[in-house]
Amino acid sequence: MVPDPVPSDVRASGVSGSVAQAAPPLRDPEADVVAALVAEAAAGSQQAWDGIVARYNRLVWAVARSFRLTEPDAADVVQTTWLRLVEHLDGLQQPERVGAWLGTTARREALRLAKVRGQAVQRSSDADLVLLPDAAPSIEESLLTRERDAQLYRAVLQLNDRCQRLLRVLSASPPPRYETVSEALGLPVGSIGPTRGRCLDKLRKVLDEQGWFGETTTIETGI
Amino acid sequence: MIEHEVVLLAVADVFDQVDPPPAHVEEAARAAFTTRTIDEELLPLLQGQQLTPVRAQPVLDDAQRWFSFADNRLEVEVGARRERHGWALVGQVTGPVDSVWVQTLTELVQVDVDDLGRFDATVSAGPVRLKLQSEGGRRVRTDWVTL
Repeated sequence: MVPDPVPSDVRASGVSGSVAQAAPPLRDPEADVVAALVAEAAAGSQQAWDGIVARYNRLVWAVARSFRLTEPDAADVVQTTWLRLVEHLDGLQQPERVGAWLGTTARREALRLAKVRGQAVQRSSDADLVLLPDAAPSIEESLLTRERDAQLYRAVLQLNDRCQRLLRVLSASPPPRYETVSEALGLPVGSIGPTRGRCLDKLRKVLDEQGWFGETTTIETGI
Repeated sequence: MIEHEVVLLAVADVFDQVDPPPAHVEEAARAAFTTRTIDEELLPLLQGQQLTPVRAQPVLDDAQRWFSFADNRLEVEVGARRERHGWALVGQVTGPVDSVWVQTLTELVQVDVDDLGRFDATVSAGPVRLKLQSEGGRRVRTDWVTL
C-alpha cells in the first residue's frame, strides 16, 4: 500500500504551548466531506465512489499527462490508479487525504510507465527555470479556436518541464491543495508556492512580450 | 498576485480545451469500483526485499516485466513477456496454494498450477491481477499491475 503522508494539521497538533492548547485545529469541512466519501465507498457505496472520481479524476489525469505520456498510456495510469484505490479503500489511514494518495500513486505509475517507454523524465532544479525554444504548432493547439488561447498554450510549452508539470497539476479542476500537489509531483510542499510564483513570472514575461496580458485582463476578467 | 491568478485560470481553461480526461477514462474510473472484493486478503506488490508495497519490480525493458507480490505466508513471482497479441505470463507461487486465477478487466480465468507452484497464462495488454486460494481456504488477491 502506498503510505499515507502525514497531514500538516496532524503535524501541527504536536506543537506545545498555550495557543495550541486553547485552540484545537479547526476541522476542514472539505476534508470531512472527502473522508465521509471514502468511508461510504469502503462500505460499498457506488455513489460515494463516483463522488471521489468526480473530485479527483481530473487531477489524476493531469498528473499522468504532466509526465508527457501518450493518451493511451495516461489512460492506463489513471485506470491503474483507480483500481489501486479500490483495493486500498479499507486501509487508508488518512482518508481525508485520498487526493494526495491518488496523486502519489498516479505519479509512481506514470514514472514507471515512462521508464518502460524509455522516456527520460527531466528533473530540473528550482534554479533551472529556463525557457525552452518556441514549440512547433501541435495537434492540441489546433483545438484552440481563439488566438489568445493558442498564444497562451504556446507560451506554456516554452516553460521547462518542471513548470509545465506544476502548472498542469495546479490547474486541475477542482484546484488541488498544495499538499496534494506536493505528493503528486514529489516536491516539498514548501517549494510549491515559490516555484509556482517563479513559473508564472516566466509565463507572464513571455505573455507580456506578446501583448497578451493587457487584452486578457480587460476582456476576460474585467479587472 | 492577481495577475498570477488570472494567468493560472487561463492556463486551466486552455488545458480543459486541449486535453480534458477522455469520457471513457472517467467511465472506467467509475467502473473500477465493480472490481471491489472484500472477502479476499490483499497480497501487495513489493519493492525489492522491503515489505513496503510500492510499485513494480525492476522493469527489464519494454517487452519484459517482472512483478513480485508477498506477505508473510505467500509469495508470487510473475514474469511478463510481450507477444504479438498480448502478454505471456509465467509465474510461481511459493507457499500453500490450491488455485490461481488471472483477472483482467474483462475476464477471470483459472490457470493450471503444477506441483512446484508454477503457472502460465496469456493476457491482453492492460490492468491485470492474480487471485489465489490456498490449501487452507485462504483467498488472496494481488494488487493490479498494468501491462
